[in-house]
Amino acid sequence: MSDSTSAAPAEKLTKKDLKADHPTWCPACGDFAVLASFFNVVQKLGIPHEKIVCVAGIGCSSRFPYFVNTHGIHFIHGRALPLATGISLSRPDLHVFVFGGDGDGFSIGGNHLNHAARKNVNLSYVVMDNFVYGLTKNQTSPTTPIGRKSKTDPRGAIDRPINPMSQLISSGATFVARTHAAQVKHMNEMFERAILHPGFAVVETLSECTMFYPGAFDDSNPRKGGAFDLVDETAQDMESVSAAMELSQDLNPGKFGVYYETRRPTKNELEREWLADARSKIGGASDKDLLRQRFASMR
Amino acid sequence: MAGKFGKKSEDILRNAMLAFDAGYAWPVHDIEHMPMAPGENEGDKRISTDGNTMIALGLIAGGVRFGAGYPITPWTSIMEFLRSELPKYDGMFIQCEDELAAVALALGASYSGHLAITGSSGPGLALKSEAIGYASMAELPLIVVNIQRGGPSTGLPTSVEQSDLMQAIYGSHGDAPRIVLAPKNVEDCFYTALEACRLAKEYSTPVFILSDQAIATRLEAFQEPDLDQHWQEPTLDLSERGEDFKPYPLDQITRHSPPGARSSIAKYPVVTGLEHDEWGHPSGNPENHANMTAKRRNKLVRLAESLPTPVPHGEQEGSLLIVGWGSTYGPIKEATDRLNSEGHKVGSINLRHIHPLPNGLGELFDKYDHVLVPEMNDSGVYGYGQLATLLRAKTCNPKIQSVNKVQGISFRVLEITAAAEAQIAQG
Repeated sequence: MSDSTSAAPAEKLTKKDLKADHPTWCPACGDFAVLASFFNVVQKLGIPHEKIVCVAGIGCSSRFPYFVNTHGIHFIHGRALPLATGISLSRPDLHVFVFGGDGDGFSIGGNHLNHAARKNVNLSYVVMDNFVYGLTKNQTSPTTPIGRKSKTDPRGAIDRPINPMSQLISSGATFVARTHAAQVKHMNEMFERAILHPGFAVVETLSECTMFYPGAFDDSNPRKGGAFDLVDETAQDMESVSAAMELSQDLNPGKFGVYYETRRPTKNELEREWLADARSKIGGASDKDLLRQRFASMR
Repeated sequence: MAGKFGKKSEDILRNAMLAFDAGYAWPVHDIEHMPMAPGENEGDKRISTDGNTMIALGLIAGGVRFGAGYPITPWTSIMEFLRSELPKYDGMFIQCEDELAAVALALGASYSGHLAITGSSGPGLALKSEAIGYASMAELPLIVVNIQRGGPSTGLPTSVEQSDLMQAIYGSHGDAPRIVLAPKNVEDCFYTALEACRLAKEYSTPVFILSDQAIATRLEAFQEPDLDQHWQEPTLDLSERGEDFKPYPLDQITRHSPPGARSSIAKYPVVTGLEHDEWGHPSGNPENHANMTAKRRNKLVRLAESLPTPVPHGEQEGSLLIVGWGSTYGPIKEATDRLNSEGHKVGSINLRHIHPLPNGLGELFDKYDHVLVPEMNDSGVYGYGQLATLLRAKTCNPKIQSVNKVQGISFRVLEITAAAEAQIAQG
């Protein structure tokens, strides 16, 4: 399982290199901006083309891997994070990106989010949150605000929506950020910092579903009369869980930026540490000899 | 005995002495009724262990270096063993938050180019079945271990049953072909695991190892495997793929390009569970879906052609053939010998390849007046056990009859000989 990194020089990628199928998203969907931002950041960071892996589950935003010309895998609903964990742990040479929506990440895949966060698996996760199930055409999602009408809540949503920021902070994610697909510069910055962060980095990206929930994020969009308030990182202890929790209490529309950032050993590092220790104790025996020794102990 | 066990704990020595005393005190006239025969092949290369350990060791010898699981009886000892052993082999085994995560992690490692394993027991396999169907569709190699226990639901967690055969073969939505193998005893766990590793790589599809609680936990002694003959080195092929690379060619078995492998024309594939064309693009084209479904199924047809028709133990033709799978191997073999010593003409086979079944079974069945299938599962609404149902569907042979046992314990030899004699008596 050692990294067999090929020593090819990193070529400078262009947007043309990274573009694949034309997205199947509806016109003016917020996800187009997320895709463009991902292209920008990957080009800027100079990651070798073949080392980029895009992982997704099911949903509109989870179609992402088809629209990016990199290694990609389109998995089943809600399980993108554990699949990406398997990639990240078994291939430390790769850059693993997970894309998905609020239903995929916070509802059907909710348990995996907590555990990938607490284990601090080294990967970058972009949640394109649109507050609605779009692919199945307008049902209530785990982030739909109370009172919002949908096909499954014709009288308006009655269940309290989850708070993605406080959930991520309490479950142990080491980089938790929030951005808006209409704020390209800010989104670029958040993605770049998430990619450079060693550990489990999540960027909740408000991305409007123009078809089923138009105007959902107008109150944080200055062009639509809203206010895009930024987190003041100079005034906040970025490693303080309680400060981050305090910040996450009001997300209507709340603040944008990095809520919480800390460095803790990753699952990848901890597993490799054990592996290196186990290997150092076997005295250079080949795998086959090691198994022979095991048989000898069973005679 | 102090010499043999003295270095271990006091408890072990005390237990050994108690066992010795109990044996020494046993009335001699009882021993006369115990048939004692010398064992065969008592070389110094004999080892003893349980079935779960031999599956784990077979997986290591077969090149598995990554796995993921969740605790459930009686599968757990495999994950405990691999968790502590794999790091020595430069591998890792991850305990996950649930069964769904475990199969997903294993598939992540498989997608990354490693041979990976997940496993569980019945209920856990039910949870994994969506992702196993994905592996069949996306054509990712994966080894899935199921240590069967009594079901359904929580059932009899610590008892033996063979009721997950249909689940293993068909337990996903859609047409999702996969390979299913079943070991017959502890020693065979090693070789079944080795074959599972070979087939997963060769056919790029999920392969089940369908063991059961009886094999998993019992101790057997047998000849140490010859690693020079069986060792399969783990591989990770990150070579550059050329311009003619297609992830899902219709006329060949899929060979994925794992992440990290360069493309000479800078076109990178998406591995997917959506129906796809040869390049991995989503496709709802009617003809394409039919062709791709056939492609995935034909891998198993090709495998069936390569499998030898089993050679019966006992008589090669005669009045009755007993057909078993898994841990019923022992009682069936003994029942066969007893029936033949009483003057019947009986043969028996144990099927390792459950799906696909080997070719030639129909012709083999024609050599006997009756075919009896003992299984530790229910005879069902139509009167046949799970393997018997498949054999009847495959061969359209009305001679195939079932004898079923669902008491959470293995067959006794007498139960099989009685059912066999009842069949033979029908003429």
